[in-house]
Parts: sequence; C-alpha cells; structure tokens
Amino acid sequence: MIEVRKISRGFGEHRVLSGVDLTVETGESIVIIGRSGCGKSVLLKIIIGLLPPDGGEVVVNGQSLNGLDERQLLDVRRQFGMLFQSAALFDSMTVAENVGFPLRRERRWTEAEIARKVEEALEVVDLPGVGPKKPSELSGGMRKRVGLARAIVYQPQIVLYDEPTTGLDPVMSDSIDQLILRVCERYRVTSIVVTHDMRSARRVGRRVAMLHQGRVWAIGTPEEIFSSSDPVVSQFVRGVADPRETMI
Amino acid sequence: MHALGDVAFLAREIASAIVRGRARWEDLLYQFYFIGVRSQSVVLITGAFTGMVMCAQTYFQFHKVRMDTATMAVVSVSMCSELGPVLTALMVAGRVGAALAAELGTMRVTEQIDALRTLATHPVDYLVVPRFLATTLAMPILTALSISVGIGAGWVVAVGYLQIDPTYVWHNMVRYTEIGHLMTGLTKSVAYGAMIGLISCYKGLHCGEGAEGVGRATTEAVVFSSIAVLISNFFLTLALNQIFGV
Repeated sequence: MIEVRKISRGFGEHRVLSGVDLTVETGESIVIIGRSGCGKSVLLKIIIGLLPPDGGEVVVNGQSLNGLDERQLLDVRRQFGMLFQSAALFDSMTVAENVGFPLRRERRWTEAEIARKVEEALEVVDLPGVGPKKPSELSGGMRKRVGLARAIVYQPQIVLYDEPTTGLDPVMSDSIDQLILRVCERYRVTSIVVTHDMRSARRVGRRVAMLHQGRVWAIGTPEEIFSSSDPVVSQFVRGVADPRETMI
Repeated sequence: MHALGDVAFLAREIASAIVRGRARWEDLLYQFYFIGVRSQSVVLITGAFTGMVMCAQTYFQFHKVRMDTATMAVVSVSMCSELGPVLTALMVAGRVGAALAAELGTMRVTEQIDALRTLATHPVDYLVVPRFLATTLAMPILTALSISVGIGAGWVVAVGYLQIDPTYVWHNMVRYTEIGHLMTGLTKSVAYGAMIGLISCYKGLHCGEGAEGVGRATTEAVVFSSIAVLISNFFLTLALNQIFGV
C-alpha cells in the first residue's frame, strides 16, 4: 500500500503541490489526471523518491521515505518499476541491454537466464526479437514498450506510468492501455498512471484522482469522475477551454 | 560555496564507492579505453611539438652565451616537471572533460539518470566512479607518453636540425634531469586527472535543463577544469619541491 500524506512541494516561488493526500491499495490501479503543470509528474517522482517533498511523507508498504538517504532509497525502489514519459532508454545500449540492465546490476542471474527473462519481457510488450536494435532505431510507441519491458522485467510490486500515451497516435495509445492492463493482471502489480488522455484514464483506472490547485480535488471511480457535476472536473474531462460550455 | 560543498559531497560519495568496491571492472575498462587510449593522438602531438618548440627557443637563447649543449637539459626538466603534466592535463580537460560533461548532462536532461535511480542503481557507482578512476589512472600514463615524445622530438630537433653535439646533449640532459623531476610531473598528473574527472562529472550531473544547459555544463567543465589545473599547479609545484627536493 502507498500512502501519500500532506505532501507539499514547490520550485522557487511557485508552489506545485500543497497538501496532497492519497492512498493506493495493494494491487489497485489508479489514474491521476490534471492540467499541465499541476504537479502530476512531480507527485509520481516524490512517491518513488526521485524528488524530496518540502513537507508531508510518503509511506510505501509501511516504510516512510522521510529521512532516507539515496542509498536507502535504492532499496525501497526495488519494489518499483517506472515508465518515463520519454521512455528514458539508455541510448548507448541495445534494447536487450536496456531491458536486462536491472538484472545484470543484481548479479544474481547467469547471462542465459537474463537473456531468457529479457525475451519474455519483450514478448509481454509485443516486441519479440527487437533485442539487438538500438533505441534510436525504434518508433515512439516501441520505445515506450521497451521502457515498460525494462520496468517489469524484475517483477516489481508497484509500477508507475508517467504519461504513457503522450505523443502516440490513438491506435498506439490503445495498445499501450492494453499493455498496462495486461501487466496489471499478469503480475498483480499496483499501478499509478499519470495521464492527460481521458480515454486512457477511463479504461485503465479503477479509481481516478484529479489534481487541482496543488491537492487532490476529486477522487472516485471513472464513472463518478466522468459524470461529475463539479465544474473544474467537468471542464477538464470534457476538454473545453471555456467552463460555460460544460453547462450546456 | 554551495557548488564547492556539492563537489565535496560528490568526492566523498566517490571515495566511499571506491572503498566499498561498487564499480564494475567492465565499466572501468571501457572508460579507460575511451579516456586513455582515444586521447593518445592529441596528447602525443601536443607533447612532440611542445618539446620541439621548447628545444628551439632554448637553443636560440643559450646559443648567445655558448651553452648550446645544455639545451636538452632544460627541455627535459621542463617537460618532466611542468610542460608534460600541465599541457597533457589541458588537452585532456578539453577532450575528455567536455565529453564527460556532455554525456552525463544529456543523460540528465533525457531522464536517463532518473531511470538509473528507479532501477536501484546509484549514478555515482555506475556513471561517476568508472569515469573518475579512468581519468585519474590514465593521466599519468598519458603524461609519461607526452614527456617521452616531447623529449624525443626535442632531441631530433637539437641533434638533427640545430646540429648540437649529441654526446654532450645526452650527457647534460642525463646529468641535470633527476628522478624527482619525473616524479613531480607524474604526481601532478594524478592530481589533475582526479580534478578533471571530478569537476566534469559534477558539471554533467548538475547541468541545467535542455540543450542550453548541456552546452553550458560542457563549457564550464572545460573552463573550470583548466583553471583548477593551472591554479593547483603552482601550489603542487611548491609542495612537491619540498617532497622530492628538485
């Protein structure tokens, strides 16, 4: 279980998060939505310990991240996998080396075992046989799939997705959604998905939380959020610039 | 002062990672190849032409007072204790310092360093320690090459072009060049390698956002490394003079 308690974070004078409370149950799939710059990705990075909060605390499976140094955080992060918005593949390595990277660092598996696990992970993301390619030879959608393969190859308990469908065409976005659902079911992982894509949010999340003005403005099932009468939520999920349009 | 504190923390992390053996030999060997082997050509050219120019300039002045045969003694002492280590360090700062800062900076702005951290890998263990060790260990070897080629090239100019008697040239060079001069230069080169590695990795890890941030980090890595080399050279010269007595 992940508990986010009164998290606040600013950059210079600009306060991005101011008292975010959120609880994610084990095995749950939650989607975080909100306008650009509202702090969704910042919250994700605070949850995994990449950014320290200014206030509040994150508790992961009963362990508070407050006061942990970088090396202690590395141990906590073994429970996590993360898919970055840009996929963040290591461009000096091949796809197979990227996916096998966390396994090689563990020094627990032989090269044959690593090769087998890498191929399995690539099959899960529907990219068998691309191991020898370099990230620069892949399309945006393929990169995200490889990023996901790298995030799940060591079977973490929690997977974080930072805008997994941004920049992809609708068909590719749909296939990424399918992958997220498949990973969730196959590995029974806890998933936190940050997205702008309302179609994706409706499909992937069992609960949807909307960030607004630095806090969780609304949270509920996708049906509750998408039929919400709250003008802020309604305007966002309908994607209209003028709030009066949501009243029509 | 804030940046100096950060550099000190990075140095402590590096020392801790080295002592605990967290770096991998494969990574170190690759960096050693990139930093050491691939820098040879630029270092050898610099050393050779510095030795040749030094020889010619020294001869032009010494010839006025009939001290032609002492020319190579000056070249040898200068190459061993000053020109070899300092010019090698400046060339390595330009070639390797820029490459390290640009590589790590690009990894930072493309979230590859964050990705490393999510994969339970400390960036200092995986990225910084192999580069720092490779720079520190490659520098004395590159410096020794530069010194050798500089003296050799100076010898060719002295004997082949300036027609100085080779017997006296050799005699005076060996007589006035002490092992302390060589040790001074090699000790300096280890310190310069550590400085270049540390400063360049720090600049890369802490670079600003976007292409502009990477560009600035690269420039600062070269400039600060070069300045650190030149300033520390003075203090190292005084300190090593006390130690080696030359």
